[in-house]
Amino acid sequence: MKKIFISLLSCSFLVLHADWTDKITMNGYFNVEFEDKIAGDYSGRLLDEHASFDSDMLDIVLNVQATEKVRIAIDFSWEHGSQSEVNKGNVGFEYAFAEYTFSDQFKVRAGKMFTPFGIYNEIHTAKPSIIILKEPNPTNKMYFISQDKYEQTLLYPRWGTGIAVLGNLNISNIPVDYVVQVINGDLSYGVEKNEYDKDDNDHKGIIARVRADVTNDLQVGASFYHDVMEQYDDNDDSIGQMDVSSQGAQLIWHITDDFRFEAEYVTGTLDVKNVKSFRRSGYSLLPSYYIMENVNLYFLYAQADPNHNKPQDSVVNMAPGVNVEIDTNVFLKLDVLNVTSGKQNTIYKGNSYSELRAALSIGF
Amino acid sequence: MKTMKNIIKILFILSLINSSIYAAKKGALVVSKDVNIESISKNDLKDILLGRKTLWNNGSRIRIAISSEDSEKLNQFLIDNIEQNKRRFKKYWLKRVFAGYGIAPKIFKNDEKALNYAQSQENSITYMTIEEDKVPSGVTIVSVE
Repeated sequence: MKKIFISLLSCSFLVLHADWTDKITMNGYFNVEFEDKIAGDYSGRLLDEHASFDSDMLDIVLNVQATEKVRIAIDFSWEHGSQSEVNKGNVGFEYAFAEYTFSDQFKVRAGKMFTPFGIYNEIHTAKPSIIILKEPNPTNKMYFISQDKYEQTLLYPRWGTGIAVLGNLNISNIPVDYVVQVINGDLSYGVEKNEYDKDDNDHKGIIARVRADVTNDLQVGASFYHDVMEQYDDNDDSIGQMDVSSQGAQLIWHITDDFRFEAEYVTGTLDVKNVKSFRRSGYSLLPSYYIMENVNLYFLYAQADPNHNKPQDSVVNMAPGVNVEIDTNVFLKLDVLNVTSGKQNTIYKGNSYSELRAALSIGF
Repeated sequence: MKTMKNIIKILFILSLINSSIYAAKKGALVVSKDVNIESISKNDLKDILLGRKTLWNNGSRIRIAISSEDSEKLNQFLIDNIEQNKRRFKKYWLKRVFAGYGIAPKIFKNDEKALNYAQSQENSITYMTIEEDKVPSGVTIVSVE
């Protein structure tokens, strides 16, 4: 009897094991960085004047195929050497959503998601999947181009909790993918509320992106975002609303197997009721070329104007670099970031700044 | 003269042994037995390999597997069918998986493991290399049209 029981128990574990491995797929990435100021100075964030190593990211991506039609995707992240005991770094998930596939043309998601705006936002943490070290600041991180409270409001939120519809279509033999997302929206930077739990107003953030593979080597796309956000004073009390509206266009072109070019343009308005209203814009250009099978040279050029109403406040980033795949999905990156600005820029004040950056990025 | 004849005999026998051990291989696309297809259009195959088509016509989820045992043949297969080389295909899936858009194809380092997968995994489609004159058991070879 005991033997039968043990046999049955063993069998049940085997069945569970089979179900487990059939349903769950695990991937992830790891990234460690080094940054050192070469020249210049500025009053902004994250200045690395002492040569810093950054235990940037460990990230586990789980896909759970719960049923044939239901997938749950989770991206756990540990950033900057997470150490909760001393309140350092960041632990969280980049996304955790359930997706129901009605068909390949129509899927529905619910949960916390990356916002699908432009080329970079959905992969900005996944460094093995991008050529450059970090996403271009001028089009993705407004707090690196302005210190003004309103100008540093992001063109679109990084993440959002809500629902989305998405799918792949074929229009006149051109593959097209689309996604439309409705989320709680973003909060003003630094406000101690949780937009992944509760919205702070009745307006919902709406994001949409469409991409078309015009040819096998050329993809073009457009993105849109709109929300009405609350603005807060230093005590986190609401003092009115601001209307954020952003649009983007993108292009990825594989000119040859070795020569690739990508470009992105973003623009948008921020209308802060009874305070100020302005337009901002930016773009990035990234040609890259494989000089050997595993050695990719690139040159990032990105520019942004944080407020069209102000003269001489633009910021330019230039970063020549190299990306070497030293083993399968193991990338060593090195570049030199050069920043120049107009005299009225609130961070750089017309001065230039440069730093050496290196990263080891591993995808698995 | 006799020595020369012996050398030729030995070389001939060795060449026979060699050809039986290292039979020529070709790239092949196979599906599990439960997938009732014998051919697939190039467009459908491209959509499957790029994650745009994730369901078979009966609504079952497509499982993709790839053997990378013969890297050159795999590269040519990808160029012929999705017009991307192996490096670009890999980058494509890195982005897709990390951005939350799907489950990457299973990659096997040898054909034996890929075949085991193809034989045991329902609703699967697998690229692998097989011997020219042999049809692996438990799977269906699919032609691309």
